[in-house]
Amino acid sequence: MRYILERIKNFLWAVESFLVELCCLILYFLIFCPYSLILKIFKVNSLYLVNRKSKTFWVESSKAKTIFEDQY
Amino acid sequence: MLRKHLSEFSLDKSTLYFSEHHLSHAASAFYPSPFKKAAVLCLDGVGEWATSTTWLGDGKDLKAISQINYPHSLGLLYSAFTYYCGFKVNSGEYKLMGLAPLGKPKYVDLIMENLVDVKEDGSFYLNLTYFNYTRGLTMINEEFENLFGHPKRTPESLIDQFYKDVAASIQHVTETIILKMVKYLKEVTQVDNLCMAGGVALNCVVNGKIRETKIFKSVWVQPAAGDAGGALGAALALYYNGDVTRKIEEKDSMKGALLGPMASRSETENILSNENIKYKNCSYCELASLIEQGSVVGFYTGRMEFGPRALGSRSIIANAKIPDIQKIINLKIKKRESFRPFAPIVLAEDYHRYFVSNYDAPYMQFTDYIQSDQFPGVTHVDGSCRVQSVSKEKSPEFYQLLNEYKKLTGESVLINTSFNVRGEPIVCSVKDAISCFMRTDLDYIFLNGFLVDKKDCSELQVDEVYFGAD
Ligand SMILES: [Fe+2]
Repeated sequence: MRYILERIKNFLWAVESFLVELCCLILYFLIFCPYSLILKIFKVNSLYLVNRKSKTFWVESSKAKTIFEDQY
Repeated sequence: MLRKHLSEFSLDKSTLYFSEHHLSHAASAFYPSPFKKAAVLCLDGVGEWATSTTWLGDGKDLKAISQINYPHSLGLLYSAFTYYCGFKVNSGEYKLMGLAPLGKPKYVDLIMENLVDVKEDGSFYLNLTYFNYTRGLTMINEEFENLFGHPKRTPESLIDQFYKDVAASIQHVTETIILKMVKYLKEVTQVDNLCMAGGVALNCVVNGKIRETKIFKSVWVQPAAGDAGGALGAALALYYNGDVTRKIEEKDSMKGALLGPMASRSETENILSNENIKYKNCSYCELASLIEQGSVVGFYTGRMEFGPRALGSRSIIANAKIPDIQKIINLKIKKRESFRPFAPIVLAEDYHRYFVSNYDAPYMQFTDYIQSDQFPGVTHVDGSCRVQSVSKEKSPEFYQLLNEYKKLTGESVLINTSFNVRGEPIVCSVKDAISCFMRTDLDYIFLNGFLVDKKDCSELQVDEVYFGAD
């Protein structure tokens, strides 16, 4: 009985470490794999990946003074 | 460097001012306009960073509302397609516009799904995966060509249907985006008038559509909408920055865009006699009859036009009723591709007699549709024309000619195209005009009231005229 339990425990350990390894690998991949490579692999259009959700691309023009005296 | 050159005019101690690119465009559109209050839309390739800006002008105040920045640019998108269709970037855009009516907008969805993300308010982002202008020296990359399944067209090669369809598609996309922007601007500003400038505002097909929609009651486009107009805008922006009141003229304050140099009648006569060119006095009545008989005439009067278009001071004029006239002028005189139609001029008071809408169009910035099929020389395949209405106040000489032509023939429509040959700017001085005349198959040249017949010039050499007494 104890032997069987031991085997199950070992098996679960193996599964867990495998999952951890896998997660690390994925994380590593996500962090270090160049952005453009992801785009290439998944054929994702960068435009839609970044901007699909925004409602407008207009940005408010600042009220900065547009004519100014030259300092030179 | 500026200081160094200014010192040549003893201006090195003066204060230098800097006007932002899009402020210059906006000022060039708003201040000379006939409106006290107006929304302003500026669209171009790129200024400092802004590529599209919206403004509200009220009296002498011009307030920026919103903008879209580089690399997301309508001008550069259009230029990318200009490049793809084998025309020169920054100067061939109008050819692409002229090509569009010959194609079908088959690739609109392809462009909208892959190249540009357009929001309901007309703001947009470009998908830089397909463009190369941010990194390289070309406008587009291989992926762009793969997307359409055809390589870039070789310049000067025969234009096959595919590129015509591409031209029609990008023209359609441009129109869609700009019309959305115009609607947004109306919502934001709630004013009746719209002013426009920036290179994209030279797209008279789009301008015509904006007017057709009647989103704004009146639309005024700066005649020199490109960067040349920026010089005017910068000066106006600075002027109205000071303590002055704004003068608003009923039509506009551009003086018919006749702001360039001129030669007086006596100067013209001196040049002609110095060059041993046979000439005679010529009335507008005589000139009208020569044109009626089918002669193609170089027309040179008064001050030169400011901006990209010949508006009757440096023009080539011909009878628009002659069936082959487009081919004749294109091949013998302009020496260029023949798909592009010419622009008609019409007496302002007869505008409605010939065209669908009834607007004032003194600067050739809007396309309209011609009602008659009697003028093949000026009508595009879709019936559209880039029309210029000629009024007595804006271009008096041109008006006289048209008026005499009308007395003679009953019609007040003629062909007007810029006085130049392909690859050269519009002629400026009398000598430029004579040189251009000698190198082309123009029948006559009309120089400030003097007429020169090509037949009398057969023994003259071009070089003699061009490089003669200076
Ligand atoms: Fe510009």
